[in-house]
Amino acid sequence: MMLSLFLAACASCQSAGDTAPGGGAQSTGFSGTSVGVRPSVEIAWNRFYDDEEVYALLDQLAARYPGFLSSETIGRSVEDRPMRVFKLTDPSTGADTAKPAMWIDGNVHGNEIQGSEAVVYTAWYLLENYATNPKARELLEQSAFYLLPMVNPDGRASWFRDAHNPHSSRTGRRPVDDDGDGRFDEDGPDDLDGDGHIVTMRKHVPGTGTHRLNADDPRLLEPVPANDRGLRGDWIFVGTEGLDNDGDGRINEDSSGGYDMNRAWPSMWQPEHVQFGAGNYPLFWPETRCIARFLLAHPNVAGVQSFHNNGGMILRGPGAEAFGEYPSRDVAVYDELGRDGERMLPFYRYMIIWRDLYSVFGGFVTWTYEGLGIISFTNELWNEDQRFANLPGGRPAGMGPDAADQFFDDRMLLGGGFVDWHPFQHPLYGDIEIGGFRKDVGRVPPSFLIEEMLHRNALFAIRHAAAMPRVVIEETLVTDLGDGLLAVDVVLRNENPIPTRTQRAVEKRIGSADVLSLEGSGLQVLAGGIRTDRFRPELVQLAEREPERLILEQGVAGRSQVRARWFVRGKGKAGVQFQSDKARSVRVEFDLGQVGPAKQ
Amino acid sequence: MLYALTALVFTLLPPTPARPAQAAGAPIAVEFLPHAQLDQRLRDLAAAHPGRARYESIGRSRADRDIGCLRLSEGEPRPGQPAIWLVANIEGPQVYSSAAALYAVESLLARADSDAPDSDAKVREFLSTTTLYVIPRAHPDAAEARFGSPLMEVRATGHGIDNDRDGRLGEDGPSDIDGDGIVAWMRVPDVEGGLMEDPRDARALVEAKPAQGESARFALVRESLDSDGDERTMEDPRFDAELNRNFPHSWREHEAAYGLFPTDEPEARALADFFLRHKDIGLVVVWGELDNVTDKPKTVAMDAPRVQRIPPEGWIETDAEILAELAKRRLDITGNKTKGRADHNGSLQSWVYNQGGVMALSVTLWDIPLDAKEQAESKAAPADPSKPAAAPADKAGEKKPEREPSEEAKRLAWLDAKGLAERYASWKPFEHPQLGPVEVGGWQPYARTEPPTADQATLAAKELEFLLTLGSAMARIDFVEVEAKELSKDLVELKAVLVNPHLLPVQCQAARRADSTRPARVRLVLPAGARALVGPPEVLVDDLTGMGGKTARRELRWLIQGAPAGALGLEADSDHAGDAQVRAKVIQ
Repeated sequence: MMLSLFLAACASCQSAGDTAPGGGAQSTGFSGTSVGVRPSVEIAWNRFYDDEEVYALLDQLAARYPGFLSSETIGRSVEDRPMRVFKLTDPSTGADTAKPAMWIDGNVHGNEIQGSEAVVYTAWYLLENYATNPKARELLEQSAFYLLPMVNPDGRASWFRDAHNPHSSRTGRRPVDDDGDGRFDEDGPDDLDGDGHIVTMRKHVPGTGTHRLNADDPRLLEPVPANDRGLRGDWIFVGTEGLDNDGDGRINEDSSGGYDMNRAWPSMWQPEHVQFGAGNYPLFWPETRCIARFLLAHPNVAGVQSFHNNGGMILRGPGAEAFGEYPSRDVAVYDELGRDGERMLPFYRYMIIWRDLYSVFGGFVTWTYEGLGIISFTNELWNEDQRFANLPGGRPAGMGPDAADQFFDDRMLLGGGFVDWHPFQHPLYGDIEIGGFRKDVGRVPPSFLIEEMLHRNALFAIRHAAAMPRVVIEETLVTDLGDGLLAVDVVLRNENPIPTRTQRAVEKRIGSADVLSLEGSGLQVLAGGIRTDRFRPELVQLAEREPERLILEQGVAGRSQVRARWFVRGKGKAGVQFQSDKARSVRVEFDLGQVGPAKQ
Repeated sequence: MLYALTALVFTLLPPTPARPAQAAGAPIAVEFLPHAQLDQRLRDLAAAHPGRARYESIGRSRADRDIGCLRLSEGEPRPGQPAIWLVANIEGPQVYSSAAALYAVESLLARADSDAPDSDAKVREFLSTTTLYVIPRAHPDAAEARFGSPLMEVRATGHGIDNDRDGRLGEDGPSDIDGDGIVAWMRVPDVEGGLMEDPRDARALVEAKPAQGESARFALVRESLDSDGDERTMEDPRFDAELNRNFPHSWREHEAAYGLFPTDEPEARALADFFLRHKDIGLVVVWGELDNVTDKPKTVAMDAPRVQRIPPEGWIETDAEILAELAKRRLDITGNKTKGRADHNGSLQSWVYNQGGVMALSVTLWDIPLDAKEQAESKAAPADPSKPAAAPADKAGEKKPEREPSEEAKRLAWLDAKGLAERYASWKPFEHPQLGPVEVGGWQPYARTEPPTADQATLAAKELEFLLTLGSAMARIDFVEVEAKELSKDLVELKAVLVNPHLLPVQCQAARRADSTRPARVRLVLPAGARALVGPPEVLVDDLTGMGGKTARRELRWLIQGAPAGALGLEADSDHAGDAQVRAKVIQ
């Protein structure tokens, strides 16, 4: 059923026109403001898609915008699903590898599904607007996007396919012997009633329980307060729907997988007994290792965004207190983007992982910053407070959290998210009741709030991408110093907030230093270096060797200039070129004969 | 001089014709084989001893060489049969350890044959109860430098970085600048070089102490060119990452020798995966640069508080006691007190112990002894008369404290006494194409890792004798006192004790902390129709500590209905402490 609807959607969008992103009469763009405008690829943003559907959406975009979106399979998952990175850029302005690139991924935790749609949305929105929106166009001309919609396609596939609760299928699917009994994944939760949902179990035990039913809403269990009045509960909560599958006296103690691919990254990695889920060594799982290899092979990645759920957070490292704080110049960049994010994403807070959430060793965005020197964020998509918008405390006055959940589900989803309590004969617990919220309630938004979540988060990632370094050669000036000796002054400017080399990259000597070089066939470079004072040309840090090729270990800081001065003899054409891992190369030619006024 | 160096090449590179596996009865030689021959030898040994030896390539090196492993066991190992994993030559210069490992394998196979003249029941007993995995050469790419030209020591073969940040990768590494076929050392005149001639032995260089009126005269650098004209040599070698720094425990990010990330080096990942695949490994022995048997490691309490979630570094006390006992037994047998490097950061051994939960012995087979007793046997060496020691400017009336003989001088004295002076070449003037006048000489490759030829077999043989004693130290579970007592008709109380009466634990403390090996598992075997009224059908036992008794027992009890007392049984299994089956003894 779901598949046939999807195919119908495909068919309808193919007839929507064949306008290339470069222009065309039919292309009106889809900026989000145009009432009645139909995007050229119509995607229903009010639902979620399984692993194959996610790739199909991107393939559909790639087919619609040939050359702009292409994919590479960088590896395969434990269950042999392809790990596909989609590369998005305007091919007419150069290859993706020659541009600063924004890495965006989602769904490293199999149950945190909405990250994948946010990745797809980012590509869709930029492509739909390329032809009509100068900012979208410039972004695709000047930069590239590497989009990995699913870090954990196996976990996603299981979450859609199998019975789950909101928290299960976080792991990948490599079997792990969680309980050390020599058997692997033998005792996970069970869908006892076969309704496709893993919910909870409760048992009626008159006078000997710990809980009672809420007087106003018997769907709710509430604890009986400790008392001396002989007040006792009639119910006990028996846990997640399941059996003792392996007969060891325990229930649900060894479910599928049992690890966390966001604890597997090399910076400050710690083993399993320090950091749950870490694996036997960093990048143990094939999904993680192929991503690391891709990033290490693409030094042009200058921004990283990872989409998770939930709670409404814009997270940055450090993940562990022991790291200390990040270098101050980088913190300034993080703060600028993070605070912007809080404005773009109401209900989201900009937070430091260890300080404001919990300590994590071996996280992905901590590695991309601490190991690779890239400004990196994790967003936790969706905050349940959004259900009640501006109500104080995130819920109706006088309502506890459980009652608020039921209220929202009853009124806004007509009860569609709740599996009502129903009897079941359990082999160990006897007569019990099974009930609770479905897997798609709580950590993912209800259908009608999905699009807003995707749009705001995609636009935050786009804002981050627009902050990646962009260096221009602002000025070249030739000064005659007499006797044929010339000074060549060059001013570089990084127009954007992110430096070509973060302070972390400088301190740990990550990647290659930037290079500013001067060459010309009739040119002899005698000396040269970086000027340290804007007004005093005599203050130059002369290069010790190879003055025609200045090594800029510090790079070009955000929104700032670097001034170089060379002392040369010669005439004719000369060229100055700037090269950087994380900014487009620029080259300017000028004539040594065009001399400005002598200054000395 | 030239003659001496040429002679040295031959000394260090004995002709090693390929030959078939050891003929029965022939004395076993310690052979230094290049990778192709060593690997073929391992395969040949497996082919010649099909019931006892099996060859496996555990992976391939960065330069695509097989990392060969030989499994020795009398027939197919039983499930849970304890295994010892011997890894050698995990650091490039330790080629002797691979020769010793090959010697051990050949010796074991020769002695295991009951028809052979040197047949040895002890070896047969060992191989019937214990599996031995041997990787003689974990780092074939680095070791190959021992057999190549120019002769040199290689430590790093992995991920290279742009050390000097000039935008060029690996342009200035070691090279044979004087064309003598050997990459040794350069003594470069440099008042900021930190070193001066040892007043006791002018060949040796020691740190100058300006506070005591000494001044530096030299820098010591590997023999190398300044290929990129930056007035520096050796500042950016092609390779930086070292195999035995590329494992996850105490790994240091952004330090070049540790590599790009743990297990990035293919050899490291192959070794790690081999260990993870072989749950039967109950003890790891590494022959190489690192040492935790002569110099004992730091110890920590099992319950030492964690700092920001991370436990303090060190061997957990009970484990350290077992390690100390093993070290003592080894010393009794080998008498070998060689000290190695104590810093285990990023090593296979530290990962195996701290994270894998299996004890790892780090043994350095040989270095030039500094031991006073051995030193006393050698005569003090006269300084090279052709190069009189530079008289340090002695200020009038100022009495300088007498220097102790430096470690370098002691080593040179030992070389002289043993007639091995060629292992440290006298400094020879050389006009360096970029640096100008320098001197070339000093330690020759492998001079400090290869024992004198006459000692090579003895040393390996003693180490093998120690290995053979480890078979009986391995953890092995057993049932004792298994008693079924009929309490009334149809109701039986079953009692049993699971024991490990051996030195090594079923799960060491590090394993219990890391939850990284499987506890022993006991299963109740009931006849059809019977059921346990009390007691689970399966019990996991994680505290059979070893040390021959302390907490080496776990008492177990069940109450069983519906079976005669004589029909009850128990089974136990484990990853690397064997298995056990028992039928209850009926008591009244």
